[in-house]
Amino acid sequence: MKIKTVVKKARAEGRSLLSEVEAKEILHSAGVPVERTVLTTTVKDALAQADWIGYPVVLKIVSPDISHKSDIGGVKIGLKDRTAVRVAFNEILANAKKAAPKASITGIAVQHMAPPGTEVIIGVTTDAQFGPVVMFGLGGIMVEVMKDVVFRVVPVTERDARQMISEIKGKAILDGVRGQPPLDKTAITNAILKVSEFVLNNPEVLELDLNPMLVYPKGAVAVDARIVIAEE
Amino acid sequence: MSNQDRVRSILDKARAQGRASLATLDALDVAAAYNIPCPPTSLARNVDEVSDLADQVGYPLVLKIESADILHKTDAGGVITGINSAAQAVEAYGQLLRNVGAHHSNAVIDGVVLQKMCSGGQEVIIGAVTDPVFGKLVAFGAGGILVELLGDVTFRLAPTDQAQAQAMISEIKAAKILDGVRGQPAADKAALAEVICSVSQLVSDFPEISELDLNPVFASSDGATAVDLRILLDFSLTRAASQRDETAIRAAMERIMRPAGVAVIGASAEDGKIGNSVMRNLIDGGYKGGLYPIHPKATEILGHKCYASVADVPAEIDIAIFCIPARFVAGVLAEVGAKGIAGAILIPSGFAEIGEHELQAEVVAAARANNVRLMGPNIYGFYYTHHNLCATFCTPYDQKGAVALSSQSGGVGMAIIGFSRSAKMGVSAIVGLGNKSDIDEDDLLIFFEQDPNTSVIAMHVEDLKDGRGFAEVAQRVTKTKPVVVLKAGRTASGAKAASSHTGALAGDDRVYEAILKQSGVIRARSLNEMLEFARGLTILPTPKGENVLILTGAGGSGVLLADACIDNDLTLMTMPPDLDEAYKAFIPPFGASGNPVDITGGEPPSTYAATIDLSLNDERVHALILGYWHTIITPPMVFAELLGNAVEKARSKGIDKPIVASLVGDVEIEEACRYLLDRNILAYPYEAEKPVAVLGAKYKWARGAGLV
Repeated sequence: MKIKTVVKKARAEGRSLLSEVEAKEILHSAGVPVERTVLTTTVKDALAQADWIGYPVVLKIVSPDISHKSDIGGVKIGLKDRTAVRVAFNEILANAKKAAPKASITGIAVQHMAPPGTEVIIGVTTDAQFGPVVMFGLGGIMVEVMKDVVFRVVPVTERDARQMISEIKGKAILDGVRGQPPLDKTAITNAILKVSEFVLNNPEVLELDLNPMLVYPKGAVAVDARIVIAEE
Repeated sequence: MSNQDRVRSILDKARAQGRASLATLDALDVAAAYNIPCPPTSLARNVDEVSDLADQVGYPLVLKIESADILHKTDAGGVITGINSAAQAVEAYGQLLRNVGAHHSNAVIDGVVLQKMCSGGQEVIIGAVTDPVFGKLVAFGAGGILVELLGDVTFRLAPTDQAQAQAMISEIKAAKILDGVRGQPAADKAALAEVICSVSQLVSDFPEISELDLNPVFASSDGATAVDLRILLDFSLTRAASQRDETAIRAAMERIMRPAGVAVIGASAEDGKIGNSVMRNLIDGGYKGGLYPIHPKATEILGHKCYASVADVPAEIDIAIFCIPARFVAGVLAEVGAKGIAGAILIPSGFAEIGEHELQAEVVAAARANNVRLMGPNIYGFYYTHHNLCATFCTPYDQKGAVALSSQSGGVGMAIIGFSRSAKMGVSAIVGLGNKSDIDEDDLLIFFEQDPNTSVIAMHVEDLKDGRGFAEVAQRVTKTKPVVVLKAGRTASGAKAASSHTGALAGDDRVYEAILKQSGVIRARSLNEMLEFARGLTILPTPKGENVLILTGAGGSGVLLADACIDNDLTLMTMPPDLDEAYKAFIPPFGASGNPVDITGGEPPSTYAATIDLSLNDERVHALILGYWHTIITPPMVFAELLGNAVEKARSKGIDKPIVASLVGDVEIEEACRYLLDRNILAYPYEAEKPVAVLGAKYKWARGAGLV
């Protein structure tokens, strides 16, 4: 899916927030490692996609009217087989109808469930003075409570990206602690560079969040993605 | 059996077995005796017991290896979580033995511990350590691997109380996680505080508990549970008996600081000798008491009759200033003691500072045996200005005032003298402590606390000999007089390799930071800050409330001053509408009311005068920060005079609120600042942040002392 197409569609619908499916599609096209997520509208469709993606999978409601998906029972995780997917699909729809009867339901997204990893966050915000800036930090309470994040102006070089990774206070976690192997900093570096390149090439992107991105001893993947585009 | 007796018998058993740490079940018994909540736990010695006990303990459960040889279980692969059946428990048991075998092939395995898994809540760490300076400390920190890496932890002297424990909980950086993040309910802080108090009581009651870790403690909305517990033992530790006899200290210090008679041992008529400089300074400084040079042969030095020994002096002597080489000091102390002299001022170097520990120990022993207090050795001496006493080889100092200063180093002592003279800071005393073989900061605090000539105490400290003693005295003294400490050397208070998490977190400046704060001490971050705080704290009156107002002639200064207020925990007053209107009546329409009040740059003296008057006379304004910038319409000296007059008028009406002024402009502002300082108004040239930091220090002290 081309970003121009996605942006055009969103603007036509009066949205500045792209759906998770849209955001992940265009990020994937741009080479940013994201957990592929596919929109489905029927159980049959969902089963086919789950078979193709590979189990376990996650199912999430997609609706422009529902922003806190988990709170209304709109997310089901760890679905290990077809039966689980079928049950979850119907439950999510029922939950959504019950919690938000008037919401328009676009469908249900099917996503491969990434194995547990260390949470980091990569983001972009557009600063009034500096234009787009990339942010990197450790995820979870580190970002929420300790504000352990660093910024660079776009475009970032590989040296910038490596410095960002070594500047955060909790950097030791990436080197492996409590007997854990070191995590793949090259994968994080590449992800930061791809994100920088993506926003440089697409000035309509105002905000971007890969939160969390899970990092492993080998590889890294964003399991949730959010993109806000500028109004026309 | 009482709870204390239970713990005593467990510890005695461990001692008999030669253990350096308690076995898990014993540690749990100790915890239970002190109401430290831990989850249900059992020990299984073989696979059959694992299978039997799993059902009893309940699921999900966690299996942990039990071995006195393995301290860091997780690192050794000795912990398996999330077990949901007896079969899984048996499988995990095998896995655990294989993991541990790979890491520690020689470890003696006592079995495995089965524990009900706790879930929910936030992870925190509660622990205790034995600090070489402060003794038993209780620690509280944010848990979880990330926060642990950041070392987000705070300490208090053990035992501690509910109020201090609550303060610990709210002062860590990650305190917010306990208020509930990511949809979690807030943690039960009272329950956490209870555990902190229990731990602090336990280690105070049993000094042989060298380190203790509850890591992690799960803090949830309905309580706190310690899911891992480690108790380390060191049977060489005993309870430090408090031997401080404050009455005796006060009596001796009184004689030392305000002596009626002074002997100079090694006095000399020869220029350039230390024994000559000391004599000169005593004479030139105007000392009025008896002055007795001691010299084996001379009959008279600088007009004073000489004696061969203090024993020959036909009058009472309170201090003997030693100006003789290190190796002769111990020998002379006997006659000094016999003469009933209270203090020996040991100027000579050549002791512990160059590794001569034995020589220093010999001198200390001789002093103890002869009931003489020692100042130094390796010092410049000391000053007590209100007694015209300059017992030093440096230069005489006569600017009398209310600041008492001490330094551990001679260089810092000289910096104090230079600054004081240049900044016209009146001092009551300057004391060199050097090697602190005897008299240290506690003794000085005890004296200055009741010294009517001293209102602020500032100390340069490299290390504390008895941190606990200092903290206890400082906690009391800071209630009436501000104590500023410049702690030099921010590394390694606990050089000992730590084997607990708490111990590892304690091994640096954090302990000093927390305990100084607990003691109400204001910590200076630089030499200049210590001196500026000392001067400012004596001049500024105590504020009556938290409302700080910035009144400025330059918008730019206003922003810098407001930023500095945030950095120094000062509260900018919310401007009441009527007061806002009152300011507006004097300032041009393009000026900004609110707080800061920006009267704008081109205003005549009358605008400054009117708005300053308004600020001084409104009772809702508790402290005033002034930002002046140099203009032709209101030149520096004009501003200084109008401010001086306004303050004088207010003081005559009994209005005395803290005022600091920041003056920026060309060099004429220096003269304006000097003029203001002569009138006891703190004014700083070319500075925006420093005046606010000094006001911040006053507030910090006043809050700690419960005055605001």
